[in-house]
Amino acid sequence: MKKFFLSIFTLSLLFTSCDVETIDVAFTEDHQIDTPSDTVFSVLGILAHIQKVADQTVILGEVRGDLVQLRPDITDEDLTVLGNFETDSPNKYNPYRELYAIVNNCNYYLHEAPDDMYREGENIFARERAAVSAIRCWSYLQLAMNFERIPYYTTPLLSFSDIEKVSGDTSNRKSIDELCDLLIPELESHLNVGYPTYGNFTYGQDYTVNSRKFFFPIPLLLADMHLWRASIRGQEEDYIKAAQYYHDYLVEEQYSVWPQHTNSYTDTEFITTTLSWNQLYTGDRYWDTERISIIPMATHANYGQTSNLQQVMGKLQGSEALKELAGNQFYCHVGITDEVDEDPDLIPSRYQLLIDDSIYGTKAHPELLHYIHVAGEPSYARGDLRIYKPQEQESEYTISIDKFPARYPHISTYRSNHIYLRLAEAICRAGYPETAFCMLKYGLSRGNMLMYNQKELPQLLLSGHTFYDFGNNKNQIGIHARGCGNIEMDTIFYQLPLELSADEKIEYVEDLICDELALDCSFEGLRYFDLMRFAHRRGTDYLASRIARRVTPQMPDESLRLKLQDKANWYLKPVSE
Amino acid sequence: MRHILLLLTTILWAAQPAMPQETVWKGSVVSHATGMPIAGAIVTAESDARYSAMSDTKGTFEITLPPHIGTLTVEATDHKSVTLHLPAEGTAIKVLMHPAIVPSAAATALTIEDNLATKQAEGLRTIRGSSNPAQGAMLMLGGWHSLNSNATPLIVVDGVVLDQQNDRPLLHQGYLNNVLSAISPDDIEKVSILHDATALYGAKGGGGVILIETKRAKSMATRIDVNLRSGMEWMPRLPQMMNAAQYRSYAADILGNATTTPEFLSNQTADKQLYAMYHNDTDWSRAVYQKALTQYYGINVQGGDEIAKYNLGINYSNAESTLKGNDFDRLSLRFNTDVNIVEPLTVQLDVAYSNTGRNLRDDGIHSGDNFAPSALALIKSPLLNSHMADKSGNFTASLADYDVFGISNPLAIIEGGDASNKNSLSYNLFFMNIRPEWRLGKHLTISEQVSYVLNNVTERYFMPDEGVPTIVNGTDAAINNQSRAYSSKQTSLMSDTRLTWSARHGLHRMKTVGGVRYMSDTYNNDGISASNTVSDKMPNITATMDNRQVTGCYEQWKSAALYLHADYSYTDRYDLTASLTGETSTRYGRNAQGGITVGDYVWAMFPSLQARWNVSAEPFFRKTKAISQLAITAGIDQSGNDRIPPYASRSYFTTTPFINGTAGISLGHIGNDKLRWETTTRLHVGAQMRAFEERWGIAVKATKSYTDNLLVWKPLDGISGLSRYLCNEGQLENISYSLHTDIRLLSRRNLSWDIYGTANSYANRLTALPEGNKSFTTDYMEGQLLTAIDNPIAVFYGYRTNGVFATTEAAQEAAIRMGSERGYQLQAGDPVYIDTNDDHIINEEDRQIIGDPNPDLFGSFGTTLTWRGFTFDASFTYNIGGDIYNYARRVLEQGGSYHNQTTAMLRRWVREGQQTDVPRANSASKTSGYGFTDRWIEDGSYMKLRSVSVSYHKPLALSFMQGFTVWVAANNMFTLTRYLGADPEVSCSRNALYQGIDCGLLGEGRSVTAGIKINL
Repeated sequence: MKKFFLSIFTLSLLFTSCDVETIDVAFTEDHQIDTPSDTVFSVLGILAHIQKVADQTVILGEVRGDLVQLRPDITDEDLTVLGNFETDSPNKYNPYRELYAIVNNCNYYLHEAPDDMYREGENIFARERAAVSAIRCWSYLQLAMNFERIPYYTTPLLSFSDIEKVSGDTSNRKSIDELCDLLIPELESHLNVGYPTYGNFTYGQDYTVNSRKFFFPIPLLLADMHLWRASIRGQEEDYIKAAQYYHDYLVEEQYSVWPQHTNSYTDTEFITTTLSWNQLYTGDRYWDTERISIIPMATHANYGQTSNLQQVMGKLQGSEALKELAGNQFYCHVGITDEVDEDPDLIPSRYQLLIDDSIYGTKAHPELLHYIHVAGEPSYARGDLRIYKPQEQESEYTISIDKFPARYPHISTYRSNHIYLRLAEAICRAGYPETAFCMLKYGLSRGNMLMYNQKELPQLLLSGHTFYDFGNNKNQIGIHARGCGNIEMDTIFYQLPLELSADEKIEYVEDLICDELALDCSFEGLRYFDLMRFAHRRGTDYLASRIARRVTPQMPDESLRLKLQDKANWYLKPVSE
Repeated sequence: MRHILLLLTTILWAAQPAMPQETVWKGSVVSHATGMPIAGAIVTAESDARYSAMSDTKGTFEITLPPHIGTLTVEATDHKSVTLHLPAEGTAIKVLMHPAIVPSAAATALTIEDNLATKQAEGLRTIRGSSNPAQGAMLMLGGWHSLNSNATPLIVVDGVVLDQQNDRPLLHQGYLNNVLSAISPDDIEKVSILHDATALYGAKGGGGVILIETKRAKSMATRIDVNLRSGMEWMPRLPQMMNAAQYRSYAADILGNATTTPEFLSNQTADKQLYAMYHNDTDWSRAVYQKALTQYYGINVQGGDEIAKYNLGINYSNAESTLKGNDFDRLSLRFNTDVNIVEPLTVQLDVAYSNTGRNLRDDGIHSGDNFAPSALALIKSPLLNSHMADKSGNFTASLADYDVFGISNPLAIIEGGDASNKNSLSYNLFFMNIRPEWRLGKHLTISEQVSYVLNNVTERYFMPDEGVPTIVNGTDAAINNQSRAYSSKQTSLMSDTRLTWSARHGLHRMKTVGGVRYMSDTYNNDGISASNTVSDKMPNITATMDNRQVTGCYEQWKSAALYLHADYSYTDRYDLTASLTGETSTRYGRNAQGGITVGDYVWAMFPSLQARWNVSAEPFFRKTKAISQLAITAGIDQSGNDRIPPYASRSYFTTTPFINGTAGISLGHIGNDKLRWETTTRLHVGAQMRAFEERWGIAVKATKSYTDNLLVWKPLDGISGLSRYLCNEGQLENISYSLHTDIRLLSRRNLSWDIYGTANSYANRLTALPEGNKSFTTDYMEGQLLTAIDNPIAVFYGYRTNGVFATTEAAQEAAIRMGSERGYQLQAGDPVYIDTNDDHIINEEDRQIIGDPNPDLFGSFGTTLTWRGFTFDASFTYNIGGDIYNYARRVLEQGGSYHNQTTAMLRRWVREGQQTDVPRANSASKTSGYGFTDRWIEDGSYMKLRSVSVSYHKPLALSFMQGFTVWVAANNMFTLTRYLGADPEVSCSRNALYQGIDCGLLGEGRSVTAGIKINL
């Protein structure tokens, strides 16, 4: 058997002919997976199935949200139907079957690969088992987010009777919070195991990607599950757990809200810009700095499965609601001061210098704390540069983002800025909205906390939690600053109103987080699920009203809004054929 | 089974007849043509050759017969054999014999299907798809008996099952491998069509059986026949395409309101080269069609001695196709021997080898990119030229590149793809059959047949760079040229061991055959394709090429059958045949239901009971003079179809490509372990009669069949992660009728004239489908085929239209949108779709059945006339009813691009108020989806003069030559039809679900062939 598998691997032949009757048939009774050289192919098989569903998950998360709309010159009935929540219609983007293909193959792996086989004291399959378990968890979360209550099973379905047993058993239908009850303990048992190491994979001419990125980080899945469960059940401890998992992962893996990844004006007339945030998606240098995990795709069919997202996203444009949101933001510009002796023509904005050590710290203890403070008078311009970029004439703006460039075809499943914003979401709901606001405006570091979060910091210090503590991280700026310049110096537009009650403050900051998710993560396939999560906490209208404003922000689509007040319309129908 | 045996034994012994009283009958044999007596005629009791006599010089004879004999057969040289019942007792037997018609020696067929297509008899529908040489035909017997499995009859050659490989993919579009093309019709002695009583073929006989017997030596005398022929075929009828002037007007229409005139429509250019390029009136068909020559050389030698007899056939055919680049040749060798080794032991040893070579190009048309020269010749603009012009505007020898519309130069594909390592197919069939037979006694014989068949196909495909646009396909590397290679091999082993016991006891005759048949097959294929060779001169695939893809499969299957067959006759009058076959196969699921499980195997059981009543042998019939022979047959039998995909019943893992050549393994299929054979039960009744002094013969048959456990696809619950599976949850029925009649119009000394006719019909109806009889549609050639309960399978399912909106006002008043309320709103010049539910939206709900591909009646008729040594022969075939989806015309009248169109598009809607049935030409017509409408459905009725021939036979008494025959034949001289396509005989798939669709494959042209046959 092993020889057979190896021959497939080494010859790399892709047998596809004869319909299902192919040479690469391994009958279930012959397919034992009890050696690493066998299991690797099973894991690759699962990863190949994730590739198949990757486009769908992104499209489903974006097209149903409020940030995109179909270009007027495009007719794509499947996209239209999805966007209009005509959920009864069959749709080529319905991922039900493919997600269960992943589940079933994971079940098979977890059922067959021994969990008690050791070599030189090391559990041989521990890493793969953890990775597969995480994949199964991700698939179930996708299913629950898209289909509400879904059959949950953990044994492989290899025969009709197996299928009938599971499909006939209604007691196994789980909602997302019930799934979290089951999956959290499972994933906790795999924490800190590490990833399988399969090395680098060539996905295009001269491009490789390390297999480590193919796997879902277990702490982030755990955090997501706590966040979802908390959003549905409202338990504070779940928010705290979520925040802690997010925080620990970001700190341990040293992900930051990097100042490099900003869009800023390079002149005081607000005409020309540097668009370095966009390079996160297009440039070699920044490529991997924010991508935590990806679904690998080939640049080219020669190198394996390719993604159609570039084509599909080409049919979409930023929605009017997104444009309005971006247009309502204010870019804050602080001119050069005397503190730094730089040529003002070269560095017209102080913000550009944040990466420079010389402008950090307090004068009393420069070695200990770093905070962002720029002296000078701010001036303002409308718009958020992540969404808008000026053309020749200032009045003409277009969406500037291409998040699925042909050279970098991978589909990210976690990006560090998503995680920062989810951390903010969890912290805010854990009862610390000012800390969350701090993340948006200043960036979490001890210096910034001391400087700007004096109200909540004492409580946090007493709470024993550490989810707010990013040490003396110098590479941490406010997330909103990525598109809005020296936002930490904004004294007019980006402020937390003083008169708000505690609950109002939470909702106010939560709205800012929701907006920030739109500005930072649009086109990444997250929006609809984010809105769902928020709406679990804030009521169905939170989602309905936003989506109803999508195309005509001034005149929301009332029938769509009414439709989405009913949670039943949020979900797709499982495919029956 | 035990009961049947017991019953037969009881009948046998309970009858216990006394020794019959024998009677002496007197009679005479007389020629119908001359009234003169016939000497030397052999008169035999039909059912018992022990009773026979020979007529003397006065034509009289005396024959002693027991009382249970009622029928005689009479044979005489140069006369047609006669079977007749005895006259009233005490009357003399009078036998009138008609002179035999000398069959025409004209033999133009390259394959057996060519002959079957001419006959269209016994319920066998033979639809020739492409007229490329020896391309074969879709065969169907008495209706459709399967949806998703093999629906064609089983082919058995000299007792050996020949897998037709119907479902195997090949590289060239429009080409289906034809296994029967390896067998030369000149090597065939006899073809029998078994519509009913196929139970003996167990789980393989569900679609009927065609038995082919090849030639064996009939006597020890050495006979040598030499056959030579040569013929010419003219190009087929083609759609009438627009000429340059018409095309210009059309292209301007497509162009719409452009502000600048494109180069191809401009008359103003001073550039001579440019002017020459776009100012032609090219008939592109001249570039791709040719007059096709056919040659055939064959020799057949037979003879032997008392120990061994042999028949050796060697022949070579070479046939050009009227479509350039599709030529065919075949070398065939067949050596059949019958050896008497020792007294009780005889052995048949047969070996055959055939090598078939072809050039091939894609054939057929479709609405995407076309690379078939035949399609390109239709769609390519007549403004262009096949060759490049120089700066002075003179055409050079260099072939033109693809054109401004991205359409290839068909001549470049023909010429640039011409080499044995570019576009060719080689097909080898090796056949070996050994059949020893041992007589164990007077009644008992044991025989064993072992056969080995090797089927080997290698194919090369090459699409040149020159003359063809670069193809961009998804994320593949851009394709400049493309090379593909394919090979397949199938080996089939069969062993058939049988014990035969025959006995006669008084009025009873009985023959029982019991046996075991074992078959084992392996099939594998490998294919590779890649793009961008170094140059068009180097088509071989190398490791550095782009888009390399490898495909392949390996399959193995086995089956075993146990059978018992008993023939029983009581007197001359009653025949009863019973058989029972049990068959198991590796293709069944382990827990298949409906059979008998023995150990790990499930045996499907197929019983059969057939009866024949020889009415004319009854004593009460003896006074009837007008009718010489009358028999009635009836029967019930069951057979099956085990052509289930080999691994459909098992769950298995397959590979899925991941990144850069790595592949993962994942669950690919959940098997249905209850998967079983399809079962067809047939009831039939028939009658055969000859009357009016043997002048008129007629045979009729009606068959009703029920197919249960039909293999159908059913969706799998999505939680499995897989989409569908095969199950046995469908049922269908067929009722079919067939008639054959022949009349001797004239019987004179030197002039005989026969006419004959056949008529067949079938009606097919689905009676059950899974999921509560849920109907389904299948897509083929951009059309939809509906398979729904109470309908025939796969009827055309689309939109009905009612002309074209003549005015904008009419269109706006109708306010009909396509697809959804957001869809395109129909305008003036668009078709008036029938909005069945009046919702002003044309979508799937408005689809109706718009055609049925099954004919109401089909058959043939013809005449043969013999005058001295001349034989004149003509045969017609006809087809009444049956719709054709003319997909080729749909592509050619799409009106949405710069493809050249048929002249029907001259009637297109162009101005407000114009009344026409042809919609406007507009690029919107594609996006708005004029779609699958009744505009493309046509009546497929036709009558065709299939062949007409004259042959002259001259017997000689020379030492080196016994005689010769010369002949000339013309095929397909005319077709009466209203069908607009090239040929109303259309089939582009061997799948039952995709019939009646014209995808533009090569039609048949007129042909004339002359030949000589020499008897040495």
